[in-house]
Amino acid sequence: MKARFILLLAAVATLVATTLISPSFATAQTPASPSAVEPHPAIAPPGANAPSATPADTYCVFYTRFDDVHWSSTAGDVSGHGWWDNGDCPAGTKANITTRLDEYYSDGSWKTKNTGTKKNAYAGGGSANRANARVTCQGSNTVSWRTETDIDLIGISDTNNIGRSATYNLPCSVN
Amino acid sequence: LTGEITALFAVCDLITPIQRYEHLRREGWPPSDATSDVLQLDRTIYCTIQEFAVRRVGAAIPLRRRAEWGSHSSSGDAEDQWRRMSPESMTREVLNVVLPDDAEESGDDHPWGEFVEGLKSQGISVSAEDLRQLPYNVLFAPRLYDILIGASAGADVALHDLADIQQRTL
Repeated sequence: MKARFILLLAAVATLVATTLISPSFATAQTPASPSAVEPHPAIAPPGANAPSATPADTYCVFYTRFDDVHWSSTAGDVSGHGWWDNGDCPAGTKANITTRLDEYYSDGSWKTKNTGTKKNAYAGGGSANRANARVTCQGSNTVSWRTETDIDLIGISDTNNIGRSATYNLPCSVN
Repeated sequence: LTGEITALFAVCDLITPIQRYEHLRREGWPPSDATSDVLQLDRTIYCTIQEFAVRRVGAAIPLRRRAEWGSHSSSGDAEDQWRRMSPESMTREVLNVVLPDDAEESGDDHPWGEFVEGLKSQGISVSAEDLRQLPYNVLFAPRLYDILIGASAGADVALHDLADIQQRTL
């Protein structure tokens, strides 16, 4: 009888422990870690790379040219380039080129991780007339990247005409 | 000259809207989202570029990752861009894309050291100096060449693809 009472007591104790303690275990396994709260580099969902600038009238036509975000020849770096070409702008027109390397964050934002600029660049590209943005990877998590290139014609009004690459996922994260 | 390697070349092809759509679908995007994304970038034209080394005997060897070129017109007109392109101007664009990152400092038009290492990993021993002396040609896929010489309109390709994509999405 005494043994049966002890067994019953043990069963009740186990039940109480399971009921009371398990939730605390469950809570402990899913802590609100900083990475779950703070925006962090992530893979972009569909539509996150939609163009923000719409075409508008310009005084002359020009073309924003760019490549995709890619592994640099410097090991562990990713880079992207921007240049421009002339449509019907006056011959000899020069431009200031800005190319940004953007990394996607889990809060839906794109954060610029490096900006390359080239002042007084002639049309047509080439090594002397392109902007180069490059960043060193800090982690190997696969996240989304894009390049954005803005051409600012010198002495000629133009629109905020951004050339934007497609989104590519690379095992390179920068916090 | 270099023995086994006789030439280098880059192949350029356009990326059609349907290729971009199918790429997104393979990555798991729902049809409606993939369509939306492709339509949002429809004013930008894209091409792929892949470089190869030609062997004296045997298949060409890929030299580098596939690169991508893009162009956006201040007029917002994709077809206007194609009309102004030619095989010569597109060749210049390809040569811009394949420039090494440090081209301005090194003065090199191609990343010879990277090519040497890539070929070495394939069991082919060649020096950067050897490679510098080889012809480097830019080739176009037939459908891109037709657009560049004005035999077909880039917009026709895009419009056909977009109609096809929208049909798939329904």
